[in-house]
Amino acid sequence: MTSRWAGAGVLLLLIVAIASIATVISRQFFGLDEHSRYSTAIRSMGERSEALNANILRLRFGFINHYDPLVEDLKQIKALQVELENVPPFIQIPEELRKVVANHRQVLAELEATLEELKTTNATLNNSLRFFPERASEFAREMQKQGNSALAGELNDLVRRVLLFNIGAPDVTIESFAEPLERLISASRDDRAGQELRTLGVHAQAIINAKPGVDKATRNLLSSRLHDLNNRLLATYSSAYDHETKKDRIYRLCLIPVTIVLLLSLALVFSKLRKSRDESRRLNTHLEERIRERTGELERKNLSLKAEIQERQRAEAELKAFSEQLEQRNRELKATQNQLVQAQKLEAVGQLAAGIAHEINTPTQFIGDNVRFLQGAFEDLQQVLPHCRQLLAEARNGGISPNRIAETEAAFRKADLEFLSEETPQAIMQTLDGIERIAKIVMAMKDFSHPGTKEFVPTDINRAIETTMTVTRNEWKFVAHLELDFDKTLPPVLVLPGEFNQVILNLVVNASHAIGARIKDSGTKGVIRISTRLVDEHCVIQVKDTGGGIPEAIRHRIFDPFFTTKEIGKGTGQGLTISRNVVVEKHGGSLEFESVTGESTIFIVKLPLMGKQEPCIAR
Amino acid sequence: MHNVDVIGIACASFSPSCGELSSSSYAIAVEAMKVMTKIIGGLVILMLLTCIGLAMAMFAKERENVPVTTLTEEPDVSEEFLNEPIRPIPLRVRLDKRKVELGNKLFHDSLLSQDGKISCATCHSLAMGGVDRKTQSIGINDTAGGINAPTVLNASLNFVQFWDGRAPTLEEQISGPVTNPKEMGSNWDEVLSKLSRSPDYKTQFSKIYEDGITEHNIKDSIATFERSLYTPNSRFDQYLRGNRSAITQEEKEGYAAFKQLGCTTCHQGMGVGGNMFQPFGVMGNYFADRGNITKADYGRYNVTQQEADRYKFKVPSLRNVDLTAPYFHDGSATTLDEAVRVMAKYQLGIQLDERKAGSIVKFLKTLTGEMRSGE
Repeated sequence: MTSRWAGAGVLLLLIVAIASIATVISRQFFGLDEHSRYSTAIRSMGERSEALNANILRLRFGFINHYDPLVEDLKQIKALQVELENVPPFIQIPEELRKVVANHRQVLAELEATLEELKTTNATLNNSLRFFPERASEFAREMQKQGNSALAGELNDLVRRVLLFNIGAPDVTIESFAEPLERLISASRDDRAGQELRTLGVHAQAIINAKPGVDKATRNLLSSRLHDLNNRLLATYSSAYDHETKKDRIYRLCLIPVTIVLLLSLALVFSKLRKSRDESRRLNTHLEERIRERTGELERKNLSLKAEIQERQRAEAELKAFSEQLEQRNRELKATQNQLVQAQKLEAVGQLAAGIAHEINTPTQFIGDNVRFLQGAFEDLQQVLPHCRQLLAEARNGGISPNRIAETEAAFRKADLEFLSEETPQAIMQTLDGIERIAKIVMAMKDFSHPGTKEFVPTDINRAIETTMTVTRNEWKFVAHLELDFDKTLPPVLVLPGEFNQVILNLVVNASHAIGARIKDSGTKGVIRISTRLVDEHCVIQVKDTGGGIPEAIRHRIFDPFFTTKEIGKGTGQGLTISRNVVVEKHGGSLEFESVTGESTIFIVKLPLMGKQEPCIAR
Repeated sequence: MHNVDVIGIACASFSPSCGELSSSSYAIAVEAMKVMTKIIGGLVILMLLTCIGLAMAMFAKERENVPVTTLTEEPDVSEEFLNEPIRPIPLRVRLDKRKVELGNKLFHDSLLSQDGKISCATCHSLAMGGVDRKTQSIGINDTAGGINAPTVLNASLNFVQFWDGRAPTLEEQISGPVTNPKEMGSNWDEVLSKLSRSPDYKTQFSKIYEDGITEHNIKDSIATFERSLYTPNSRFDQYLRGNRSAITQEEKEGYAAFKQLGCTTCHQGMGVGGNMFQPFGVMGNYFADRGNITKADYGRYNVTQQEADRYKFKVPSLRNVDLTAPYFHDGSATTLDEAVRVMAKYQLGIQLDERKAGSIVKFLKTLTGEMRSGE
C-alpha cells in the first residue's frame, strides 16, 4: 500500500519534472530558432541596405548599367521586412520593437518610391546624356563645316555647360540654361537642322530636368534613415532578447534542482528496483530451500504420523477390546452388586432374625400367660354357671330356695368373680396387644424383606421409616431412645421402596452399633433421632445418633467398600457403600454426614420428590 | 511477474509460518516491482510520444520549407560581357515539381472563371508566347478588357506585375484576372467551392499542402507554375555566354544600336526590361498624339494617385518580344518595327532610320528563348 503511494508520488514527480524540462527546453529551443531567424533578418537587412547604397553609387557613377542589382536588393529588403514584421513569440513585450519595425516599414516604402523615381529619372538622364553631348558635338562640327561657327560655338558651349551641370559644377545653375535653350528651340527652323536642334534642346532640357531629380533621389536614398533604424532595431531587439535570455537563465537555474530531483528519484527508483529484485531473488532461493526442507520434514512427519496412526489403530482396537471386556466386567459387577445388595439385605435380615424372634417371643409368652389365665377364669366361670342355671330354673318355677341363693353366693365367692371381671378384660387386652405386636412385626418383616420392585413407587417415607424402626427394634431398643420427628405434610416420594428401607436400616443399625459401642454396659441409653423434612422439592431425612461421632481419620473412608470398624462377623463393610450407591446412583439424591467427634453423627439423606432425574446425574 | 506471483501464493498457502514471516515483505517486493514496471512503462510511453511529437513537428517544418530558387542567381556570363546591360537567363531553376504540375492544371482550368469558359491560358497561351495576340483580351461574356495582355513568359523576372505594377508578386497578381469582372469575373469563395467539388484537386492539393485547397495554396501553385515559364538559352543569351556565332553580324549591330541609342537605359537586366517604371512619352506626348485617352492610359497613377506617376508604366520585358505582338499597353503597335520606331520617337526623342530600326528588330528577335518546365 505504501509502496503504491510512493510509486504514484514518484510518477507524479517524474511527470512534473519532465513537463517542466520540456517546457524550458521547448522554450529555449524555439527561442534560439526564432532568435537566429530574427537577428539574422536584422543583420541581413543592414547588409542589404548597405549593398543597396553601394549599388546606387555604382549605378550613379556608371559602374553598373542595369537595375537588376537594385531590384534584387529591394526585393530582399522587402522580404526581410516581412521577416521583421514577424516578431519572435518569446519576446514578451514586443510593442517597442513593433513600433520600430513599423517605422522601418514606412521608411522602406518611402525608399522604394524614391528608388523608383531614381530609376526612372536616371534612365531619362542617362539616355539624354548618352545622346545629347555626342550628337550636339557632331552637329556643331557639321555647323562648323557649313560655316555657322556661331551656332557651333553656342552648341559646344551648351554641351560643356550641360556636362558641367551634370557633374554638379557650382557656377552652372538651372536658370542659366533657360535663355540659351529657349533660343535654341524657338530659333529652330522647319528644316532638318531645325529638327535636330529641337531634339538636342529637348534632350538638354531632359538632362537639366532630370539631373536635380536624380541627385535628390540619390541623396535621399543614401541618407535614408533605414540604416539608423536598422541600428535601432538591432538595439531594441537585443535588449528585449537579453531580457528574455535573463529570464531563460532563471528558468534554467530553476531547472537545475528539478533535474537533480529527477535524477535522484530515478536513482531511487532504480536502487529500489534493484533491491526489490535482489530481495525477490534471495527470497526465491530461500523459499526453494525452505520448500525442500519443509518437504523433507513433512515426509518424515508423514511417515511418523503413519506409524502413529497404525499404533493408534492398534491401541484403539485394544481399547475397544478392553472396553468390551470392561463392559462385560461391569455387567458382571452390576449383577454381582445387585446380588450383593440382596445378600446384604438377607444378611441384615439374618442379623435381625434373633432380635425379631425375641420380639415375637415376648408377646407370644404373655399371650400364652393371658390365654392360660383366661382358660382358668373360664373354668371358674363354668363352676358358677350350673348354680346360675338352677337359680334361673327355680326363679322360673317361682320359688327360689334360700339354699340356692346361698349355694350360688358360695359359688360366686369361690370363683372370685370380682377378680375375674376385673382381670379378664385386661388379659384379653394384653393378648390382643401381643397379637397385634406380632402381626406388626410380621407385617414389617414382610414389608422390609420385599424383594424390591425395579420400579419407582410413590412411597410414604414416614411409614417406611416406622416399618424399618419396627424391624430393627431389637437392635436399638436396648441402647437408645428413639425420637421420631416426622413432617406430616411430606408428600409421597418416588423411591425404590426395598432399597430405601435398606438404607434406613443400615443407618439405624450403624447408629445403634455406634451407641452400643459407646455406652457398653453403663446402663445409660443414647438417642437415635430421625427427622423428615420437605426442603426444595427434596425429601431430607436426618438420622442422628449420639454414638460419639466418626473419628477424623476415617471420615474419608467410610463409604469405601469393605471398610468397617466393627468386629469380625458383625459387619461386612458394605452397608454405607451400598447405601450411597442406592441414594446417589439409583435415586439421584445425596448421602452426606456431619460428625462431631466425641458427640454425635448425623447422616443426611436427600431424595428428589420425583425420583431420579437427569439434572441429578449432572450434579 | 506471473511466475513470481504463483510462487508467492504457493508460499503463503504452503506454510503459514513462512507466509507470516516473509510473504508480507515478499508481497511488498512484488507490489513494488509492479509499480516500478508501471512507472517505467509510463516513462517509455511518454518518451515515445515526445519523440513522435518532435518528429512530426520537424517533418511539418520540413514540408513547409520546399526550396524555391528564384531567377535572381548571378548567371554565368562570358567575361567579355560582364559589363553588358543585359544578362542571360539561368538555364535551370529548381522548383517543386508537384506544385508546377498542379499550377499547370489550374492555369489551364476554366473552373477559375465565373462562367467556366476562361482559363489563365485563354489570354496567356503558352503556344503563342504567353499572350493572346489581341489588342485587348476577351474575358467572360465576350467582354473586352481595357488593356493588352502582357506575356506570362518570364513574368517572374518582372519586379512587379501588371502594366501599372499594382501587384508586387506573382502570387498577388493572380487575384487580379480571377476577380476582374471583365476577365474571369469570379471570386475566391466560388473558386474554392468549385475546386473542392473535384476529387482530383482534393487529393492533389492534400498531397502537397497540409491544409488542402485554399486561396493561398492555389496562388502558390499557379505562381510556382508561372516561375517555370522562363525561357533561357535564347540565341542572344548563348552569345552572352560566349558563343560569338550565336547571333549574326547584323544582329550584333542591332544590339550595338540598341545600346547606343539608349534603349538599354530602360530595357536592361535579365528581363531586358521589367525592372523599372518609366513614363510613356518622355521625349514627346504619346497620348496627345494618339488621342482617345482611357483610364488605363494613366498607368501607375491609378495605383499611387501621384501626379508624377501619370502615364508611367512598368517597362516591359523584351524577352520573346517577337512572339508577343501587338505591343504596348494599348496594343497599338502591331509590328516590332512600328514599336521600335514609336519607342525611339517618344522615349528617346530620335527619329530612327530604316536600317537602324531593322537591325534593332533583328536583334530583338534573338531574345526568343526556349520554353522549359520547372526542374
